[in-house]
Amino acid sequence: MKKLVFIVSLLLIISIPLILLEGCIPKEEQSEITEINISVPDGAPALAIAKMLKENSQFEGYNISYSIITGGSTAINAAVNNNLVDILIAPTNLGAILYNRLKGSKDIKLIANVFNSLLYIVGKDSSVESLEQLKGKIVYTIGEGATPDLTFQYILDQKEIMYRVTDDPSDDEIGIQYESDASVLLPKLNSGLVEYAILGEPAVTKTINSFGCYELFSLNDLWNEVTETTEGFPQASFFAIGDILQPEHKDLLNWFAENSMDNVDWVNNNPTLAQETLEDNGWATPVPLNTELISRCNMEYISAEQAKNSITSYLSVLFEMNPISVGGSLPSDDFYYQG
Amino acid sequence: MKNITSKVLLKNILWPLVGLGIFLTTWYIAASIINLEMILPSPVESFRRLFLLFEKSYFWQAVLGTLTRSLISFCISFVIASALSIISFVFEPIKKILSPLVVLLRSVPTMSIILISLIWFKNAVAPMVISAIITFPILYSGFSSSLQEIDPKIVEMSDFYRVPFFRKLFNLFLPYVGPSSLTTIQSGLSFNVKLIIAAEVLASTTQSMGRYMQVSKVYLDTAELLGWTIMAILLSYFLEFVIVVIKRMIIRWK
Repeated sequence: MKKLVFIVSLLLIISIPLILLEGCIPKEEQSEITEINISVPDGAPALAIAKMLKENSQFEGYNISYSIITGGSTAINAAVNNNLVDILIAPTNLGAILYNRLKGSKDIKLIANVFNSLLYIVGKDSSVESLEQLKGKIVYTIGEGATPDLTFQYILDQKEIMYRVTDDPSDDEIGIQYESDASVLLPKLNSGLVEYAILGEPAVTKTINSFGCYELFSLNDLWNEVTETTEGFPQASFFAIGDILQPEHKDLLNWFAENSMDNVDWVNNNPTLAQETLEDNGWATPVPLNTELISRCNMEYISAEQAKNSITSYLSVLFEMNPISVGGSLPSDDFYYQG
Repeated sequence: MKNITSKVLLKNILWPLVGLGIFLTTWYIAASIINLEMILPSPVESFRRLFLLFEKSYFWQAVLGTLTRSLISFCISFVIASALSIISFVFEPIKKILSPLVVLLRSVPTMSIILISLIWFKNAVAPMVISAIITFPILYSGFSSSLQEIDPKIVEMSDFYRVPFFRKLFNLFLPYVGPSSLTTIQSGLSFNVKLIIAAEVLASTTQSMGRYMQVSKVYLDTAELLGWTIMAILLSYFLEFVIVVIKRMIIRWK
């Protein structure tokens, strides 16, 4: 018993200074130069900062560093939680989830939509022209519970095509199966273990170039068809987090917006240069960039104000399918940055 | 008499409960300091989410799926490991032939086996293959060392009297190695559950606990993730408990 008391008190003695210390460490003095980190996930999103990476674009009074993070949404969340990033690209619904989860502790705002859907259904059978023809087949998809999965299910719902998560679909339904990421799905497509798959760029181009697959459907087109719109769905967006949203940094965000818009044209005109730049910065995508791939990425910089309508309707669709996919509730107006 | 039982009760139930209490209190305090559910939800919230899951049919399907996969892969691994350990105990050369393979299997990084299996197999099968391969060397070494404990003189004697192999198996080997093997089985089985879940996360296996853990990670729903985690712990406990009961029965029967 004495021992126990001793150990418990020891633990307390050790932990108290640690807890106190945290509050006592002086906040870094406000220096003239503000450090800004801009991060994008590996893969197509990196295209959105290619020009800035190439030119190491800087804005007066700031020291901006650009980086490509590998490791998918887990790495994005880790970067956000550890305050490692001020501006980042994330799936639009992940931004909404973060907005809801971080409420009260950290601000996160959507500054612009940069990518409409870059998801496609690929397969080796080029004769497939309508989704109806996929009945009785299995469609493998990446991103369970995320954009690829949810949008595909929504499209099937709207087209009144039955589907089920199964590897043994009957003749009047589509079977859905999941894989953790494209790196697992690609070898299976190549070997024929998988016949149809939903993939994002640049994996789509890889299957077309190397495995003899065809682009059968664009989820953007299917989305437009069922929603009777022309804009497609806003898959990935730029978000700003924390202090950078303070009014004094407004000029920086405006400068960033201009650069991002220039970047879209630059990437379209200089695919090879863009690829070299990205590869020098840790881009782990083994596909040669060409204009076809870039156009399939549907990259366009649309400010939050202009994109707000399409984003809210997109998020409402996800919300109706599964409220958790946008973090439990639809973000309110302060989710959209007003420049 | 009454005094003794209360002492036993104190030793076996009260102290473990104190340990559990300290753990839960620390968790609760840590969660209220951090005060952000996305990073660390409180134990109350995690258990509440677990109870909510109890009402969902997909929850039980997933638990059953994971349990079935664990048992199947464990049985495969068990049958191969026990057969090979007995054969290699009886025929020395086989033991020598197997030794580099077992060392190889034991030293291959777990992640390599997982990543390669994900590419080779369908996502319902991959977790079973993975955990069977990884559990095998553990069981094999455990069984082999319990076989070594058999008195060599008895084996020699049975050889001398030309006792048939299957009689030797049931009347000599199994009763001898049973209890100590059960300890190996006990730890192997809960290790297997953990492996299966890890592999299910990476393979997105349909009707599996791993898949739902992955989904709750995607949605940053840490409370639900911990709810599933608590269920995984309960599942391991349950399997270990079954083995302990079997062990007691064997000892009593002896």
